[in-house]
Amino acid sequence: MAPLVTFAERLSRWLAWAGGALIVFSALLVTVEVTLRKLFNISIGGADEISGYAFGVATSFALAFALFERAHIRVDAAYNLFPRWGKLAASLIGLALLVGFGVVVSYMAWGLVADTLQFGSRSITPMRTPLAIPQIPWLAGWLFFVVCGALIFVAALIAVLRGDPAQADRLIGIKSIDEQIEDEAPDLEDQGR
Amino acid sequence: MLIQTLIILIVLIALAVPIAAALGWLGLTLQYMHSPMPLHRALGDMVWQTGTDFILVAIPMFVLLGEILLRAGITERMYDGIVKWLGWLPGGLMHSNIGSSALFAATSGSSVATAATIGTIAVPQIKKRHYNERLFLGTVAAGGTLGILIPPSINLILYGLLTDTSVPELYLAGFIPGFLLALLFMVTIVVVCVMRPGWGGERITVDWAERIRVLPALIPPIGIFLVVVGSIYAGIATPTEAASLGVVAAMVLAAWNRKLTLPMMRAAVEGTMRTTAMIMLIILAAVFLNFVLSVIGLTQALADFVTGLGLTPFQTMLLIVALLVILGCFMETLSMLLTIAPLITPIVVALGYDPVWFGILLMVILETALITPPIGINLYVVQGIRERGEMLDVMVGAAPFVLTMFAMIALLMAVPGLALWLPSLVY
Repeated sequence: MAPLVTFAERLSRWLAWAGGALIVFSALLVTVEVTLRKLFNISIGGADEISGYAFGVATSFALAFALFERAHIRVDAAYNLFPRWGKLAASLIGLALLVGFGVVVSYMAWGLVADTLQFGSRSITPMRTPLAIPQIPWLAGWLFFVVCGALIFVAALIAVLRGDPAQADRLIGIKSIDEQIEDEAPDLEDQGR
Repeated sequence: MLIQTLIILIVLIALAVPIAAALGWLGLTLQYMHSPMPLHRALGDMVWQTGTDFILVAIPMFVLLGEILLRAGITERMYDGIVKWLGWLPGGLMHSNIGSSALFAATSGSSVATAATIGTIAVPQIKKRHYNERLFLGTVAAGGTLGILIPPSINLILYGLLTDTSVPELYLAGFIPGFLLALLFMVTIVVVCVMRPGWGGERITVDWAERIRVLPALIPPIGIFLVVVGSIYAGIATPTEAASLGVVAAMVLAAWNRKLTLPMMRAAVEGTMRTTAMIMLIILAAVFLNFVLSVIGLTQALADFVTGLGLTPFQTMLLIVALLVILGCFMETLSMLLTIAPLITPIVVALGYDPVWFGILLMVILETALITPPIGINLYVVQGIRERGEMLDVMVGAAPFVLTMFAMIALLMAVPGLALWLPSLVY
């Protein structure tokens, strides 16, 4: 189980980087488009449409990464008052509901992509993009999110049953504020100020 | 139906269910109980349409912009520069905390990032220069809130999307209140330090030559601000395009500082994608929930309930503001914006108020929510940076600024022109 979780986590990080690359690419594309439009009155067109797709795909690619990083916001006002087993139970329930919502979305997204493929749908824009191109990786991101969520759930449950709540907490607990700051303001503390 | 909805939401949130899941399942449960149509069938299409909306592309762009400035060391140098310019005021570095937060907020859109960044740089100075610790911590927490209001703010984009309000108009409306609030924070510091001279720390004396010398450190953030905001109002770019220009400008600056490396960019996009995925999942769930709420008639029911109270528009407005401030003590800002804006804004507009004005008012209330106990994320961030002492210190230190924000809310209600004057010149 553990190697599988580690592998999925590494894969999720790679996918997040890929998503980030799509965002950087979009920024460059849109900048080129705006510059050409204003300075030379040339419109390459479609930069907004392409970056919209890139954004959708990038977001779905990053969903699993955010899950591993425990970045999905949870309100811990009552949680902090729970006993340890209560916190773990709440975390398991919360994860199950989050992934469950992912299952509902993925199922509906699956239907959307199936329709797209069946009818060969294209976007209603001058580009007439075959929608299958952005929609298939987008759906893949959602499915990967669901699979990772299920993996984390099982791994955490095993940890709980084995009597290793600390490990379960690392997988599904609410991030402490120190961990959050580590995310938001990295490296600065190491510079010895 | 109203009570039922409220109970489900409170139970889910109290159980610490992730906000996105709480909103999503609330939507699914309500449609199952009250809707004659299977609304969830629309979920696939809705997630695709919202998830690829060009307006929302601005979110990862602004987050990435802030990440790059942070990791290229531009923010840190900016703080040192502002110290030289504002350090002479009674309260010294505390003014730099507010000023740097305002400027950092003006380039990125995140409050937590602002408080974490400025806090990490500033907090070690408390002991070094003998400041009153509580007040100093309060300035960091309060300064960090400015990111929500001062354009370009991600929260204003979300408000615009959910209420069909023009984002450039909201941005224009946010200028005067945003900078006025920063100014009021500084006035608060001066007043407190004049009353308690020992709290202001050691004076910093800087000559003009030194001030001129540090100016280059201030040019990058101001330049990026001008690129982003200027391009919107020059009619060159939409907010999303402006954000993209900002990202490219920040990358050029990072390259100029020899900081544009692969590890730096990888760390920057990692942080960006983590935040983006988190925000987008909540937005997608909120959009679905709002769709369900309007179909089953709950939005209307709430409006009827409020009008049925028989209050004057002004009294109703006071009631709404009071409820939102109380709610802000317990709720996290982003989730509060996404659930409240689409529900309350129609009521406010029906009362005869301007949605642009209400957007700005709501932002100030959300800013207050960031530093009101028990749940105020900026308080926790500042306490976390400090790594010792009691949470109470930060709460007490932030209290004067909460009062300043209340004054700002009252001011906005008394003088709507503070928000509406600038847009009225253009639109």
